[in-house]
Amino acid sequence: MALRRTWQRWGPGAGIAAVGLGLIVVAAVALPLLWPWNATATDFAATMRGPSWTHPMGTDGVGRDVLARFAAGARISLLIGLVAVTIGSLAGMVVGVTAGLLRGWVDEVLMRIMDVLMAFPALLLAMAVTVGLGTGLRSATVGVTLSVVPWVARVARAETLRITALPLIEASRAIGLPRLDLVRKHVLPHLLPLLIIQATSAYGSVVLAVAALGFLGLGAQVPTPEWGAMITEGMEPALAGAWWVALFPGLGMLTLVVCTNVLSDRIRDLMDPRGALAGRRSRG
Amino acid sequence: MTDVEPEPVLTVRGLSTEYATDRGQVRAVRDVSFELRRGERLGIVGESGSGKSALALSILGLIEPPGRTVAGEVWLNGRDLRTLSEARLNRIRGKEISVVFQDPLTALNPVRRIGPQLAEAITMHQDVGRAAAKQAAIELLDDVELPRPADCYRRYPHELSGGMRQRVMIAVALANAPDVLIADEPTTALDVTTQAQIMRLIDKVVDERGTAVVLITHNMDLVADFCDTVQVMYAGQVVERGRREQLLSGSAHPYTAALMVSVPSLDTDRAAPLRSLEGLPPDLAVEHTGCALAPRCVLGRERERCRSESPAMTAVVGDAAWVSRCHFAGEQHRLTMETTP
Amino acid sequence: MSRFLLTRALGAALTIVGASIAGFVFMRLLPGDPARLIAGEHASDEAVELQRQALGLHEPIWRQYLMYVSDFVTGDWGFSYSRGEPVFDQFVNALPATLELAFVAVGTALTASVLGAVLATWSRGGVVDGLVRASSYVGLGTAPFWLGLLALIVFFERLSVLPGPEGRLSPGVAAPLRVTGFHLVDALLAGQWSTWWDAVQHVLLPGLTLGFVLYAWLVRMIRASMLEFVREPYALVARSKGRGRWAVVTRDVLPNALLPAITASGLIVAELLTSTVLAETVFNWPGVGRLVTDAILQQDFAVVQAFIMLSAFVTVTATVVTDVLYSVADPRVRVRAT
Repeated sequence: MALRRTWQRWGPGAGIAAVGLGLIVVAAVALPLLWPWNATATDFAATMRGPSWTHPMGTDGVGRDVLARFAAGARISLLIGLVAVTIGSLAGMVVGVTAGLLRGWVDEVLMRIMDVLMAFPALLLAMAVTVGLGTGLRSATVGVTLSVVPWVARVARAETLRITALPLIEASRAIGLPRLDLVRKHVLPHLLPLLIIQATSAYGSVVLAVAALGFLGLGAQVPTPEWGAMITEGMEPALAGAWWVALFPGLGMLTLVVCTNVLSDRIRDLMDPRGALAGRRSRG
Repeated sequence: MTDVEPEPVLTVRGLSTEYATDRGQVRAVRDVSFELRRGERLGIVGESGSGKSALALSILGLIEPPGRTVAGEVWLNGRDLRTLSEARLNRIRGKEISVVFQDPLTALNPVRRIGPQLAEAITMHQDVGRAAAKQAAIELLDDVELPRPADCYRRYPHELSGGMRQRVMIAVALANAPDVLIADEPTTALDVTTQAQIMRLIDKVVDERGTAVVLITHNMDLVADFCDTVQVMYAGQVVERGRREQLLSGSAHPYTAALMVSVPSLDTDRAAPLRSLEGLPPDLAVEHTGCALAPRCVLGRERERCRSESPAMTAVVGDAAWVSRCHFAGEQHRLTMETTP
Repeated sequence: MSRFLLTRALGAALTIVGASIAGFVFMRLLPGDPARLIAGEHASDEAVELQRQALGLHEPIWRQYLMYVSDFVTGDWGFSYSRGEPVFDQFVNALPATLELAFVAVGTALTASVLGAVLATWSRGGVVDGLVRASSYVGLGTAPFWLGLLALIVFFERLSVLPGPEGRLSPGVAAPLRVTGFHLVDALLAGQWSTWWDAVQHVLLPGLTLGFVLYAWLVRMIRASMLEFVREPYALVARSKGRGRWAVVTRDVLPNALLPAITASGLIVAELLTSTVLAETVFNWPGVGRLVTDAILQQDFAVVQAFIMLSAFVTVTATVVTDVLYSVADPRVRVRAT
């Protein structure tokens, strides 16, 4: 009954998306433990094999099992996405709330910096960082994390300004509620849903950006079973007929990003009552 | 009003409209029927949420998903609009039947000038050239008593006041001299002085053209001033219908009675108790048994029959044109007569 | 109005200055000695020292920054040691290829997204709407480089109907005489039909790949905006005048809905910039994106820095321009401001 209620509330699209996301998570978590093949083990006796029962996604140019690499890639994408979005949102929130509470020159300086960060398209910002810190997954993660910060900071600042302008808050400041208590009691609870919306909607683009860096050779380096790097490796074989090496990582990415985007949109609809009600307002 | 009544221009029979919501089907309009004769003025009265506006859209066939008109007939000039194709309906809407909505501030496209928005109402239905349509539009603006109509023609909506915009909307609605005008709360969004001006204007322009009017409102005073016939709606249903004098002098439904006293006017006896309704209209997503008004009704709150049996439309004091959907219509009628001297 | 323009332009200028500082500082933070990089690994210390003098590395950092900015503005974007060419010349040479691709992509994307949004609004909640939304989700979820590869697998490797990743023209086909730099135009001007057809075939896959990604963004924004406006009372009034569903969507709703969508097109420019880099890499398209990725792999930082500066400039300018366009297009803002 409760399950049915949830289903009705979220709708079939979100249901399918949840299943898709679940599959990727299961592949990332369980497959490396259960699957006999290793993501990095080469087998020169079985290179460039098409999909079969032993290798459902085939093998690559050095005989590595593509399914095992796919699962390892899922692990990397899920994890980096999570890390970048969490840290980026938290940092953005701190910046935004600080700017919104302190106002004045702190606000001005912080938001100018955010403007500058936003002036660089996310992937290019991440590219710049990887050039600076050296290529690799670590700097790719730093780069995409940085690109999340200004967006969250903007929202957090606007919301902080809105909340602190409410009469209730002005009143509690007048009776001497300390600033930190104000943040804890009034600002954070309002901010949380917004943060969740921002973070979930950033997730997909973060995953894509990490893969793009991997593809360009700036993120994960080639033997690493990262989806973007796998596609780079699969490019030449694909144009020679071995489509499977590059196809499956891309499909995994597509599934992961589409599912998280669908879920994030649904979360937005449900958390933002205006949006949710707008379509179902009856006239009377 | 006896034997030679004119033919009805608009006949609505058993019209029902539902909205799909998260909590199930909401029946906004329930089995509504009425007739409107040429030149007649019918008032449809009810609280907000009583299905008045949904009724207006249902008549025009403009209910959009998640809403759907599920049953009924809408006969206009001898054709049932519900059976016509969308293309034929487009040729009828705005020409034979048109509508003035509640909020003049949002009824005009904000990024287009007033004039073309009015002129297109003419060119859509009449085979006239651009210049002729413009001329006709300026005349219409003059008809609705807008100062400097040629200047108004070139204005953007935000440059006009609410009252002026509502005049424009009336001009749009009357552009093709329709047989029926539905005025859906035409003055609710306006201030009191403007309200009176707009009602006077509607009165004048429909009189000149012999247009039949359906005035949808929550305001009993407007109805008393303007309408020949009154129909009261509650929870999507018609609960009482009769000629103006009949309902005003001694309504036979507790809801109508309550509506009337909730608008005190200067000449009502101050000593008469104001019996406004307590509580809220019923949740239309839930099917209820008995009379829809029962939980709020002064008369029927305690009566078993009101809570178990859904009342039918019955004639009040022998006149077939005066009907009430109340088990105790006679009792209510006597009660009203006693309290209003 | 002018006041609004002024504050907007000032804010943008400040952001661009900030971005240039960021770009400059980033360059200086890079490990390694730029003088040695340029002079070459085996250059003598004297040669490196000379190079250092030439680059002005002895000057205080703020003077170096000012020098860098004045050089940048005058078109001296530094020297690309990997190709032995001034950076500016490289960009000028690569730009037409990128613009040609961008025009094809933006053209397709705009047409398709307006059409898609109109169809979706017209059938709101229906099957067509569902398909449009699904296509948008797919486009937003697809990495452009993977999509490009997929297109190559299908149309080049499997079906052999379109050329592979070989750039703008088939090997052996000479570029038409350069007038605009766009092969599609120059070939026509020169009357070289076979060259033109070759160029069309080559631009098709990268253009459509890029176009699809942009379409996904645009259609999502325009559709959302249209669904807002279709609920406006004036849309209902238009219907009550006797206008059909389709006509209301295309004539009353679309123009109004495009206004707010304009404001968001600054984001589209950012998306276009990044996707171009990726698409050019897959299709070996000799544009700015390809130039930059090559430079990164060659550690040719002058090129990278110029690109970062440029993209910041383009993104910020696009945002300001769209803001201004929006205020000019909306009579409510226009009238109030004058």
